[in-house]
Amino acid sequence: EHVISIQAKSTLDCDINMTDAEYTSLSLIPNVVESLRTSFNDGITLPYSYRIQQLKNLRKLVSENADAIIRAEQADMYKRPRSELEMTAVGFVLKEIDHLVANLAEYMKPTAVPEAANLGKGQLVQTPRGVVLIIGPWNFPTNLVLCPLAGAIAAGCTSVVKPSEVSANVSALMQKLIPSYLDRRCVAVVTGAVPQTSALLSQKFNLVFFTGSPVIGKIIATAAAKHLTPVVLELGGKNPVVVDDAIDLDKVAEQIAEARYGLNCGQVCTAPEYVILSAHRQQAFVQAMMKAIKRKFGENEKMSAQLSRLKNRHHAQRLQTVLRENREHIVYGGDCDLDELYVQPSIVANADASTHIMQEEVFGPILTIFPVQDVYRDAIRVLQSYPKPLQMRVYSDNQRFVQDIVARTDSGGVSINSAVSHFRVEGFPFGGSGWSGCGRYHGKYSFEAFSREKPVLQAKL
Amino acid sequence: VLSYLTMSSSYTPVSLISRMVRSNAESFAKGLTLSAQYRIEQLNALKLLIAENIESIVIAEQQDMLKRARPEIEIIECQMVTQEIDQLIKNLHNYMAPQSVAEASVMGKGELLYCPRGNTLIIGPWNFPLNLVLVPLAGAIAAGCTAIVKPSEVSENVSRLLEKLLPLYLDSRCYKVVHGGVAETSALLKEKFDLIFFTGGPAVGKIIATAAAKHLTPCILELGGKNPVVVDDFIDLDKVAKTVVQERYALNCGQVCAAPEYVLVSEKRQGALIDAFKREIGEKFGKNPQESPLLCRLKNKKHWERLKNVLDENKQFVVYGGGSDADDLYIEPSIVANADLSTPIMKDEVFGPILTVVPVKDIESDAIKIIQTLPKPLFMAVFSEDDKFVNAMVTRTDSGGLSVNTASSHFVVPGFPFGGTGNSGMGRYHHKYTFEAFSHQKPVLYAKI
Repeated sequence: EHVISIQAKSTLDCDINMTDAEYTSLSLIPNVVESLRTSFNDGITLPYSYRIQQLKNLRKLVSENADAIIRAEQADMYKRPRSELEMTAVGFVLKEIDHLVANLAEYMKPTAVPEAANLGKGQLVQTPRGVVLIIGPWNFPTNLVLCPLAGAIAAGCTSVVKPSEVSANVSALMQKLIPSYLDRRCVAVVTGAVPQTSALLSQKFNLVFFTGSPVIGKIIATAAAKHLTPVVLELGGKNPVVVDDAIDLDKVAEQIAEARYGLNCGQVCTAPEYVILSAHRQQAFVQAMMKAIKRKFGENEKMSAQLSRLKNRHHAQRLQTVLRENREHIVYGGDCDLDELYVQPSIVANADASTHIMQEEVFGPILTIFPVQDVYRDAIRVLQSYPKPLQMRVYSDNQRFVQDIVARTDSGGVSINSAVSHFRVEGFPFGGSGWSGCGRYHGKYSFEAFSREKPVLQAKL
Repeated sequence: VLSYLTMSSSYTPVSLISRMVRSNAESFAKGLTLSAQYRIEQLNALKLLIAENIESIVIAEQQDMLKRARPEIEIIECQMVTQEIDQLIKNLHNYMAPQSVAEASVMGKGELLYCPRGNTLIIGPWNFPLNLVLVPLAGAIAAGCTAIVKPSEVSENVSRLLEKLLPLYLDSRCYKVVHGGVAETSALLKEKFDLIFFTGGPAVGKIIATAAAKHLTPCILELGGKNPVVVDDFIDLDKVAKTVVQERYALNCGQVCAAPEYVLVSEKRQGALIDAFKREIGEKFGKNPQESPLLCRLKNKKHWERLKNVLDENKQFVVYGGGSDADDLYIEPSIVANADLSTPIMKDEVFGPILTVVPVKDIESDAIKIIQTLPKPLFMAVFSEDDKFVNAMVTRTDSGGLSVNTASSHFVVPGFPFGGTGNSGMGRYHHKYTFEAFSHQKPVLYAKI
């Protein structure tokens, strides 16, 4: 059904903002980190049995509080569908934890290095990084701190978790729940905004795991460089879609509509941002997109239960500005209602490198069409002219064309003839490259992200 | 080639650097470096560069480092590099082949594919000036990257030789040398690269990491630090002395990032351990070490003075050696004993022929505590035949690599990744890891619409 109940306007005005007084006191932060350092050095987090116990406790944290988590996420994001949250904030997190529990013994085993045999017994020993800092974003605030945290625990690290203050309810909930379920000697929650994050970054960690924008990613990387601390940066950018001259446009449009508008109102780092295709196909593709939008959201998108809302007024205004700056290119949509935090699924066409919308990540329900003269000849040039994206999608049955793109461009991940991002693919490492990030996680890669393989040689004396 | 070496000195003009980087980037975007055939051609050319110029290399290295032994140059600067290149050539097709991901089958065909990072920068140090740029370069070539190589200007003759030789063997559209100092390096660091590979000290490592952060460029930093040796209460001290003396003094006069810096031992065994060191040094280098062909010299006046200062600052703790000769850039193999964390010598990496002995009360708990307190070292050696003791050292401390019952580091172990952690660096290379270092492993999903 496309009809939903209208919530009271007053709900929108009381974004719960934790005051500075409720944030972690700056003066406490060095002690917090020091205490985690002592715990790590004492070897508390090293035994397999300890890590399994903590992972199981983390699992209980999620399963026993699923409803509270969902309600906190909904309080932080107006009209966020429960069904989505059951999957992204609960189901996915449980799956990650279960995977680590099931495989931890295997992951912790050293790897033999037979080539070393002439010198002695050689092994790669899995070693925890040490004391780590996990900083989360506001778009999937539970998932994007608890999945890294599970990896840190599995790897034997102690952790500071810094959820995003922008998702204040989830942040407050984490601050309450984590110390109740996990060993306070080894996991600490720090809540706060820029001052707290800066104070944390001036401490020495053995790894910083950050999810957020490239602009902040740069700040994190710069701060970490002072301590020679390695970082895992899960960033974003403009994710391209390449559509060739032969592929079925209706099927493509169906998938792209879902990926751009269907999840969290496009506020997803892996969502498609712009579509590269031959100019002669642009009109047909726009028609196909409009059909797909109608099929998904009905005649009145604002009334659809399938469409969520923008994070807050600031982001709704940001998207409104994007629409205004690109108004002569809008071929569909363009409607906004700031009070409702609503932006209509929109399409901007005839974009080129100079078009406003191509200068920054949209992170919202606006798709850009970037026509070229000949997609087979021009797509790679366009792809290479932009920073490496987190997720690339290519729609084509032309093997040579596909292989050429895969070989000559880089991105966090590529999907061919599918809009599914590498975030969701079982067994795939998830992460960016260049501007879209460094490092990777999920599944065994979460264990690896927080570990290091230390080469150990046992020589004969 | 010798005549090139006597030409008047000039660094690569800073004004050219931007153009050089752009030229490499364009070559990469065109796809010049991607085919396996091209990569193998270039790797073979690099092999030839070494094979055809051994004499010039030896001469340049000896001009850069007084009394550097020919076998050391031939083995480390030539043979080891050639071996690494051979391994890359032999395995290239395997490395380049996509790896299937079975679990992805629900959604389609899933693969992991190594993709070149792109346009890379390789900055080398002066202690093994050829090996520590050419092995990374071989990895860059194998991975399909373009590269700018910036050898250390401190090893001036080798750097100049490389500047002349590289364009004669490799495709200069894709591989270039910048010869220069601080100004040229700074100009390079302003440019955007897809990867920076740096070998050197932690202080400059931080500068590199900070510059790279501005572009969100990943780095591989091969740094240094103070490498500890832990000696338990039962192990044969003569056997310890043999390998520690070799690694601290005999190779490049201790100017090696993986060489042992300080030895942790029980107070009650310190005397006997020092005696064992003295005996071994005497046997190895003879009555007058300054005449021994096994001992080379400090890099230059600056480094000689640095080591002389170390000896002076720690005068009251010097229990052996302490001699020096300014004109000969000579520092006698020396031992500083009874040190603790406050002793001046424990502050910075010595990077020279002075070994420090740190006596402790309880070897297991105190060694762990001290090593945990200090920055993570590149390498750690543990001498013990007690499995429990060894396990405690391995699991309760961290380091780039660890060896048990030898002071020879993970640099030389076949199949081992080489690199540091924390202050001693990030990333790793050697063997297949060099290919991986210059690659991005990209997940690719093939579905049917």
